[in-house]
Amino acid sequence: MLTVLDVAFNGNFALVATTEGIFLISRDGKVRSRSFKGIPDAVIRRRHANGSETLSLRLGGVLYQVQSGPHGSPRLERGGGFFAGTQPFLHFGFYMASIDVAPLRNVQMHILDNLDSSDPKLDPSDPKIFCLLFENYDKQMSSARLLFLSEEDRGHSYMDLDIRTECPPIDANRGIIAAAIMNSIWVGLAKARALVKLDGLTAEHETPETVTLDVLGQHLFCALRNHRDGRIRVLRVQIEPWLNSAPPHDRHLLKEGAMELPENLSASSSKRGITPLRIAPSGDWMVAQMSDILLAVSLNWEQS
Amino acid sequence: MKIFFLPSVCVLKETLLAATLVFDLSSDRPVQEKTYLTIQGIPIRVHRRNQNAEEELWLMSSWSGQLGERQALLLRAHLLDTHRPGFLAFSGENRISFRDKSAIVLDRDGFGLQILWKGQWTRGRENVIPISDPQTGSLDGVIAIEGKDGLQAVLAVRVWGEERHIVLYKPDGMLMPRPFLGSRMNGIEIAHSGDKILMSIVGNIGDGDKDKATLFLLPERRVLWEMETKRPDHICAAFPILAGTWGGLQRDGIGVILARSAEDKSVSFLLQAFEADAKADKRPALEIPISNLVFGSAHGPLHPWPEARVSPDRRFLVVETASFRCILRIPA
Repeated sequence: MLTVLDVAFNGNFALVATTEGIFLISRDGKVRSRSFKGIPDAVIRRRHANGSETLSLRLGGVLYQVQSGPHGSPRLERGGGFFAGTQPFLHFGFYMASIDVAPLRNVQMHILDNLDSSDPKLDPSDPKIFCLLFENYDKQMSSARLLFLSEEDRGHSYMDLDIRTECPPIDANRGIIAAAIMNSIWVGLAKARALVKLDGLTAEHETPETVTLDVLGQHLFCALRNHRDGRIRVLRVQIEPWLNSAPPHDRHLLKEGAMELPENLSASSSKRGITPLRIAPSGDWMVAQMSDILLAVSLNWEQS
Repeated sequence: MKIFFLPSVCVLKETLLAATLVFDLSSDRPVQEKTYLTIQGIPIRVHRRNQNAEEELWLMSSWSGQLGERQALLLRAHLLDTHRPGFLAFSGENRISFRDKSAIVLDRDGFGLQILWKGQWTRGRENVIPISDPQTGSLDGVIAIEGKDGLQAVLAVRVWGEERHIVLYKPDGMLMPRPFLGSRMNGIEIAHSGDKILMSIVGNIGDGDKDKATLFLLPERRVLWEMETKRPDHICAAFPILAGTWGGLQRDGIGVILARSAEDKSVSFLLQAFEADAKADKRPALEIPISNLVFGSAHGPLHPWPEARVSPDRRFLVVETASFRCILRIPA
């Protein structure tokens, strides 16, 4: 089965990085790919002020940005906004900070970069880069260290947690951070360096598969899997009430969406076989995986 | 779990895990529990000298890299007041400041905390609280006490295997290892007025079958009062009482919370307050059962040692054991 590292959305197409190569998938489901040698030890997903996302990979100590080529096929281009050093250090050009990766073992880095975030509410001491360190890409939850990096702080604050490290279900946008950790969904303020558990969001036997923050950072999209029947649900959740006083129990804050699989896969048995990888920040489609096949799945929020 | 009381909330924080629980104690509504993931670090409890005896929670976030480089950061816990009781937040700060220009800062080498008495750097290491120390083990927590003239004392709680040490730092630079009965950070409580600091410590002694509560006068470390209990009674918490400030006690004293698990595993709590007069007999001046449960349940064994604290305003008792977690209201 394909080992997916991350998915970045840019308008009507998505860039998918795997351990074997890069893929470009369009909303109509067309997939183009290109392979590369080696296994990336760092993946950087960057959100830009205009809402688009880019993906960079570090291969053999060199950073490459995943680009869409002239004929719609993906390619790797040197560069990507960071100066990359050799293991175990990664130097962030912007902060002039080096992350000293503690364990002697090889460590994978998954970085969410919000440097371009244009929210005026953010100040220089607020963390805008979030770096997940872990040992292996894993479909099951495994231990990882999440770093909060800010422009002003000399040191780095961190939390140790259990999260899926293959295409990790974590997102950051406009000072909000959201993640599926230890079978729950958590959302927080980056400046608070804290995430609160969204109690009551998942039903019994349901676990979150992926989370995405929308373009304005007001809603969270998530895909949940019911382990009894394998069914997938997608939800849109208003974030603001959870950041305030008590956990809300107002069902109007949640909306369940409908998934529209490609026509050749619309049988209900196929719905159970797919693994949601990431929902687009626009919320109207997601990239899912079925064995070694990548799928574009439309999401519809109009029905109740 | 280490227990802290921020204004209007109680925070239960794991040191080595990101999990943090916050309980809203601000209103008469049922107490709400929220679960957070927060950054990790060594906790620093600051007792300010103000009317409400409020305390602050700080963290020293730190790790060492494979090349010996230290990363460290001081953070202060507060509640972002979007809506009461707010969202738990940790902000990076340069120093913990006190009213006499004293401060606690990160040690320049990143290996611990440095106390700047009256704002002065000192050359030696006597005012440095190391994260790890070959004699007294690793740093488990720090308690700083501010009096009317500024920073009065700093206590470092250190752990080495099963051994626990409390090290006292004073403005005259004295460092005194092993001065007190070993205890967890939750077992240490402070009350102060003027130059006088009373400190109570509870700890588990012997082969785990006895508990001890001791009242000290700081900075001399003079023992004013002590008591031991045997099973089935556990001393789960204690707090010092300044004369005339609580429970009608006319002399300085101590409040001790005794917990007992009945045959049906239900746990009852009894508060006994004693005046610290060596000549008097040891009968309590005040005895109040605490039974008004406002959160959770109290049902299960009390062993191993329960983690418990009484809020600085002496209104709540928070208890956590391996089998239950509860908050009780202490009668006024």
